Amino acid sequence: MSSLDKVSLRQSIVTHAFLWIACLVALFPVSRIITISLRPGNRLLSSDLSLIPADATLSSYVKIVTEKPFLQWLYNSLLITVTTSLIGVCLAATAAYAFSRYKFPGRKSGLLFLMTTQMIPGAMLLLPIYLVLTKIGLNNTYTGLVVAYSVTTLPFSIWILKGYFDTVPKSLEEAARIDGCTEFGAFYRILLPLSKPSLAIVFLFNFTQAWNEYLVASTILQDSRLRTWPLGLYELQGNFNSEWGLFAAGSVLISVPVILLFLYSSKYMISGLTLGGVKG
Amino acid sequence: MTTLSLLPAVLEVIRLLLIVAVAVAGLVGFLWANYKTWHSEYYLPGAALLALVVAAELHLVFEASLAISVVLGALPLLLAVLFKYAIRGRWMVPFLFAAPASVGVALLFLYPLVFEIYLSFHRLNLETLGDWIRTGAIDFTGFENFIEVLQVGSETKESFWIVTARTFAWTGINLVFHVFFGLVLALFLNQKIRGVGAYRTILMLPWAIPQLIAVLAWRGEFHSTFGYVNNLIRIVNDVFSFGVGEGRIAPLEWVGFRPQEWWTNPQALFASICIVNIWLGIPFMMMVSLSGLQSISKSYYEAASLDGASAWQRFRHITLPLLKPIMVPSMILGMIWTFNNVNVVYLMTAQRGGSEGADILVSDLYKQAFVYNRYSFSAAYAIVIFLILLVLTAVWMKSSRMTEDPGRN
Repeated sequence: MSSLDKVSLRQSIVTHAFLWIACLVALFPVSRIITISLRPGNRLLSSDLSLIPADATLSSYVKIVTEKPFLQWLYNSLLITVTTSLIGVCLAATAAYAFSRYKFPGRKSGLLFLMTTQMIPGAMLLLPIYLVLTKIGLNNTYTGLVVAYSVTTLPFSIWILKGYFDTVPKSLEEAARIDGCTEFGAFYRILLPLSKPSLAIVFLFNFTQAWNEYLVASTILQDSRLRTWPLGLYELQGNFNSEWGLFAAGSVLISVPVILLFLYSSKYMISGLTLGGVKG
Repeated sequence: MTTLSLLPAVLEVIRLLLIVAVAVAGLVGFLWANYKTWHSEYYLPGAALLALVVAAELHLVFEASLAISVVLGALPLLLAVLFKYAIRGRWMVPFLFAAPASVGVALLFLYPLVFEIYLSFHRLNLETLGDWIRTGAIDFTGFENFIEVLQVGSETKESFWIVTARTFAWTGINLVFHVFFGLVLALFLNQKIRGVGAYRTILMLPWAIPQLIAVLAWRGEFHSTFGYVNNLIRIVNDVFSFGVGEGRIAPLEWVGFRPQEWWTNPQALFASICIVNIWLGIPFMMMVSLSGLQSISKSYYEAASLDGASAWQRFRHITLPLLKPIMVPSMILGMIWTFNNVNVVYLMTAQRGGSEGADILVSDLYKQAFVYNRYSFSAAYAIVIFLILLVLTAVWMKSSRMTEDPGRN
């Protein structure tokens, strides 16, 4: 046993074989969605197991864009998601700054409370929100949905941003303060530009959370014109016989950009997560 | 062809952004004004006047109930007392910075909590909802809802204790598989082999793909006739079977390896949900373990192998202890997420053909609240679930901390 980095041939074969099997399992539903999306409409249901059907066609893709309000769903989702992320990032950044840079009464218990909120079952929060929205007549509007989304992701965003802010040296802001910068100026002109990557991550985190959310949206938005894409796709999938191919095609169209975005940002998200977790 | 409607939604969103901006500015401005005036001798009388105006306006102009008007009116007065005697002009910057998010979180987390406690002692369901919206009054029922929650099942509700047991099984099964496979995959990915980047990217897919799509796709594959899972089982059984005269013997079928009615048989349904959720959750644990493994310095391993430690000993005495500080918080987080995972269970069970008998606490809660519209009952139910989770997490955090540094306790 000389060097640890040298891997024996047998070990390397075992490793590759294991990882290959794992990759196949990870890819399984994805490959199935692609297969089904390519099937012609008259044989959606089939026990055929081949990856690309012999009579592959793009008709499902054409159909979902032209015959279903697919673009409207995407538009609704995009609007809600961007608004949510904007509000979320602004509120989280200022709060994280206070938690990271200042000592004040309630700081410790505040951080602990943020942790505790992660424990509250979503349905538990949803019930009062739903009842209040019903009472004041904000059901079937985006307002309630956006507020609910941006605040529910707030604790986690604050936690991640605080972890990042802790790693930025305080001396930079102190130097700016000596040069006559205000507290807000030090935050806005020094810390924020330095934390652009982490702000982008938190934006993306908020974005994916709101983008993929189904349950809250299905409770609050009953009007079919207001639907976001998860509501739309859910209904397509419900019609197992007729619209399974449309569901698959829509899924592929939505997943590709989301997956790319996620793979790009995940590295930073993990480091943010562990940073926040360890430092406390 | 469908037409797009673009404008109304944009207008609503812009209006919302304006409202949020005004609310934040108002809140920060109000606090700032307090910081500027707290030492004045007219401060407390002024605050009292403000409280009176707020309460009177709420009660007379907006027709809020007397209790709500008094409580909301008392808020600025309470704040003024705090400013005068406790805060005394200190911590201005952090308070102003933290205020908008804190108020938001408090409104959306604390207020529901309080409201839920109120609901759980009253009777609000589909019949009384209309009255409540009009008058705001509902009957007080005492502990009735809580007693009903803890009761043995009824027509619309499985027994609480069975659902709880299933939830614990669900959380345990998922967590064990997530951590085990996540750690094993991370150990493989941490080696110097060709194509690590490609492997890692592919293995991340279950996390990257929108959850709703993944779950619904999986659900389709569990269809009894057309799903891949049953077809695969049939093929495997065919391969491992042999004909004897007229009959056919498939040994695997004897041990229960046969096509299942995944959508309607509760046990099979629960198993399928577990499979889907395990598939979904492995990448997270894999990435956490991987980042933990990569943070361990190579020199430990070199020293250990100089001392003649075997691969297992190195893993047991170097990797595991050094991985623990990262793994424990992630596992606690993972436990909470799994316990609260209403999405996967709901999406797998809710549609046509889905049966109950595979629900966990939170998905049952969701159905009680929004399918059966039993609001007060659900409120009591939610509080019970929250308490279970609170106790569970507290116990775990405490025990894991005690094993970490025994010297401190």
